[in-house]
Amino acid sequence: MLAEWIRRHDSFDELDSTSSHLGRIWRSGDLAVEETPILVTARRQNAGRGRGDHRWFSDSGSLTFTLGLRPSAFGLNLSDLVPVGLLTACTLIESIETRFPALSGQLGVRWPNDVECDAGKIGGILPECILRDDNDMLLLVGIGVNVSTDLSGGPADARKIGVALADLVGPYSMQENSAESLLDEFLDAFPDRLGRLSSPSDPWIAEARRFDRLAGTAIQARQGHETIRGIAQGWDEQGRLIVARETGGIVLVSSGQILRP
Amino acid sequence: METPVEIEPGKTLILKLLTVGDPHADDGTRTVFFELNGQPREVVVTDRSLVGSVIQTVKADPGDPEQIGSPLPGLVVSVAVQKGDPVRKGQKLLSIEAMKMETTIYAERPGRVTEVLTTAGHQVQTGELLLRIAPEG
Repeated sequence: MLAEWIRRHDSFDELDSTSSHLGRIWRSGDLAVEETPILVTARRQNAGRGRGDHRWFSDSGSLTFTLGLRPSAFGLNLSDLVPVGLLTACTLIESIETRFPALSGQLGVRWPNDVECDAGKIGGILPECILRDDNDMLLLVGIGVNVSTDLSGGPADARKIGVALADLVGPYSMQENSAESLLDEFLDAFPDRLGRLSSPSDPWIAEARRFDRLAGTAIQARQGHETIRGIAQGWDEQGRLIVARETGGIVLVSSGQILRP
Repeated sequence: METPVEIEPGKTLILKLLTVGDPHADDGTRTVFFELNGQPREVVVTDRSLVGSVIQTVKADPGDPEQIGSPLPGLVVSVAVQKGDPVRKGQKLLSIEAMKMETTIYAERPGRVTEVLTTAGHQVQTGELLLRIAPEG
């Protein structure tokens, strides 16, 4: 049963991208304010979006969905939303751990928005804020999870870095409705977690630091025109990545990308 | 080194300086990392030794509809207009990314771009002036 706080659910067998669909109906006025928060799900995306121009590979074994909500309904303004990808990734991990207890302690966040384990990348978060002509703002939180995705059918980068939950727990631990039950678990947890962004003193980041997979590792970050090399030191109170430069000094990384080795 | 600070009789906080961050882009501040009773904390302070070496960014006047300021800190990923371009209401002006959240700023009213003060790859702060758009007519 769909979470009570969801006012509209658009469900598709196949779609280009759940986030693209949501952006279209918001800008065109085909989504009314009273219909938010909205959930868009697709059994299969044929043009799933990742960061920048990247694509997100999925098949019928994937969980792909986008939530659309007005931040003001959760007491949030735009600047509160900056760490929403990190918060969502941590919430997703907790939901996975609840549904698949065998994975507890094995999952973490590759700052700021990838869910990973030692075997590879399990899921990703794509947050986006869009306005329309009346200046009303919608927060889109796109989520893709390799539940029982057959990554051998994907592009080279997905095959190289991706891994499915079914690969980790074994196919006999999966049920036909594993993706749906994971979605239910996440939707139950998400509104309360999101609301925690409205309080600067809320200790959610301190609690979430246990999911940090980069702390203590050598990283290379590209932030604008600058490349930063050093050792990741964890997340600061605003969720930014603290990096001790190899040339000395501490820098806070708040945007750009962490390059993979 | 740990420094005890007595804030009232019988109540003492233990402060420990961890490290001082690099200067933040354009505003002459640094983040100072410390522990308060063993818990990691941070505070942003102005480094007066940087006065004269910092190019202060221009802040947008929220009361001036011609000025478009950054609504959040982040990295400018694209600028969709140039000086002299006419813009219509709702037209995409630029996009900013912060911790992978992309936010696109659209024109609130029609006009013409009279100044572009940022470029893709530029790190901006909240309120920083990005564009000036003169009203049409």
